Amino acid sequence: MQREDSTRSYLVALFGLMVLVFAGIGLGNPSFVSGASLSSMAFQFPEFGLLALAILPTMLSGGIDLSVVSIANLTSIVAALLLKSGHEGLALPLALGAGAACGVLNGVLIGYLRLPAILATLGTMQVIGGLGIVVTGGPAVTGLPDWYAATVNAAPGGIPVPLTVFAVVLVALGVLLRFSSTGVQARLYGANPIAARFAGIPERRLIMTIYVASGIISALAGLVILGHANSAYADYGTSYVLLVVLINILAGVNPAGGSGTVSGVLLAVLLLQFISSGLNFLSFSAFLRDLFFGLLLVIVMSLRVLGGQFRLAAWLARRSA
Amino acid sequence: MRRLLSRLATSPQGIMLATGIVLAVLFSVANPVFLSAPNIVDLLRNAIVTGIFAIGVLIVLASGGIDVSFTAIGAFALYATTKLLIVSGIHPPMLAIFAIGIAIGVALGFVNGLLIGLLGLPTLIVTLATLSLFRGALLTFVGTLYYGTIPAEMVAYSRQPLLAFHLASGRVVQLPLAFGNFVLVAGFAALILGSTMFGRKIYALGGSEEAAARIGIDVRRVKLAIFMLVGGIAGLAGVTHVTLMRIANPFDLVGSELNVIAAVVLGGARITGGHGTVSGTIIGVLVITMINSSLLLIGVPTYWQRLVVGGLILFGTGLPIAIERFNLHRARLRAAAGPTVTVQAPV
Repeated sequence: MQREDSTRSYLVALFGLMVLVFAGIGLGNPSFVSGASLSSMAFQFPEFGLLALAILPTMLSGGIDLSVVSIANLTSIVAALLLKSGHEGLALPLALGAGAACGVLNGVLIGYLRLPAILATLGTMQVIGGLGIVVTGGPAVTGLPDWYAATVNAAPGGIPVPLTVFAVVLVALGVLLRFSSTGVQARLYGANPIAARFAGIPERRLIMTIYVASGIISALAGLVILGHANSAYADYGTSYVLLVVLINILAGVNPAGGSGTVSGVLLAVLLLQFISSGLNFLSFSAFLRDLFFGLLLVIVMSLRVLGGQFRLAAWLARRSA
Repeated sequence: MRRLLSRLATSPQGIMLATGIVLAVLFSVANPVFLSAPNIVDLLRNAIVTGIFAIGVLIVLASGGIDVSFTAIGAFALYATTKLLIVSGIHPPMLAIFAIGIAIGVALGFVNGLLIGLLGLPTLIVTLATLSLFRGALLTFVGTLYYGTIPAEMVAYSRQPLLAFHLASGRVVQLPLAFGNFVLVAGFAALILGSTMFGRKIYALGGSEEAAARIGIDVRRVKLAIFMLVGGIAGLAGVTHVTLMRIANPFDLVGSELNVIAAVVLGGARITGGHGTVSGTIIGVLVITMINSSLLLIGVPTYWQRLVVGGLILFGTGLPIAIERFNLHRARLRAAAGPTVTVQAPV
């Protein structure tokens, strides 16, 4: 199913860039490559990596999910309240259930009521986030049992738990998108919804599946966040929304839908983590990170367009001939 | 009456207007303070910066694009302008200060416009990137410390009233002159969108870019012009924000972009382009501001704000779509019953 020819070469280029950034920072400050630094990064990126994976299937199908951060926060609040009140066995299933329920809400609005995805999730972002604020009354939920944070922040066999969660979701989503009929249908629907409709794709069920999956992955992100922060806060990480959309676009996901891969998301997440930790290691201003993210996206997108317009490879071939 | 009602219910701005009126009545019944001059002045004051931003967003949405970078442009303009004045020690008149802010906004909008117009990149991608870029550049190169004392001209300007109410208690409530900026920008945008060729081109672009290009509109130039114009509006909003707050904080504004877009969408602008009016946008901004600042007045805790606003977004945009589909469905049934009316199947 290699639909878009440029995808693979783009991923290779992205990988090259990631290696280059990693090597460059490593040369600037060798302790960047140390075990301690790598392990601290491995604890950090799964958080927004999971949120980025949550948006991927929705963007692939030509939609978007702006409510992922709100869903993550609501689930972490649900889990925190249950853990605190002693219903420890219920916390995990109900938190995931809350994520799925939020996904169902998005799916109904987009699939059945036919609201544009960006509008529907802009609304649910507020509603779900608002629900979190109403439940907590504003302040963060604290006083969780110690074992929860200890479990999330553990690293059995040297592999942090959040990293394991991220890896499992990455592989599962990758397999689902590449080999299952749902994945193929999502891509077709994103590339051309009218053609997909005429091809007899169960549109509503497809959209429902996609947004429920997105909700469940967001819920997992919420559970990781809960362990990191050791508290649940309705307004946590609101700036993540646009960051994770940016990650997906950097990952080569077409915002109009139809193409995008989990490997691209993995590379983009790692690249951004290296840049952000690297700037820290080279003791630059933390705000330089935002500048680099934006600049990187502008350059990458411009090169893609210019490369496409001028048919870079053909032009090079002509020159060398 | 029925037709009026159905027209109200089939457009988001109609629903918003109705909701606004109902809420205003509810608020004033629950707490008469709502209708008092200080409260209304306060409400209008709170609507100024969101309102100016919203007009810019409206223009972009009407042209079929989306802009999330305007808050970063506003923050850049507000902080860079203030810092420039303080560091250089010059004391230009207020008009010139606004001009500096607008110029900074136009310059940053030019960057957006180049990437969107010239390279043809999608608006969401470009403005997401420049949101991060402009903010990063501001905080890295211009500064991160806020100014608690702003230039004297700005202070003097902020004290000038557009309207002043003398209350029975002897207190004077002032609507700041900055409200005039909102009125001017709204009027200017209404003029451009309603009565100029440029405005027609904006809507044409939003309706169908392909069709617009085929009837001879230079799509690239129009897009460049739109983003420069919108950048300028964001710059003005930024400087206006300083005069209202009387401090210049580079961390302000960014983060509110989706709320502003929500207000514009509630005012009837379609996220898919080609639709949207200045009057609708003003209604959207006022209703959102009213909810955000007045829920407390009727005893609803502030933490209900987001839930109410979110519900309104879903209701206000979902209901017209549902009604439209219902009408279409009825028309199709009628067509099936008697072959007098033919209805195009929706695509």
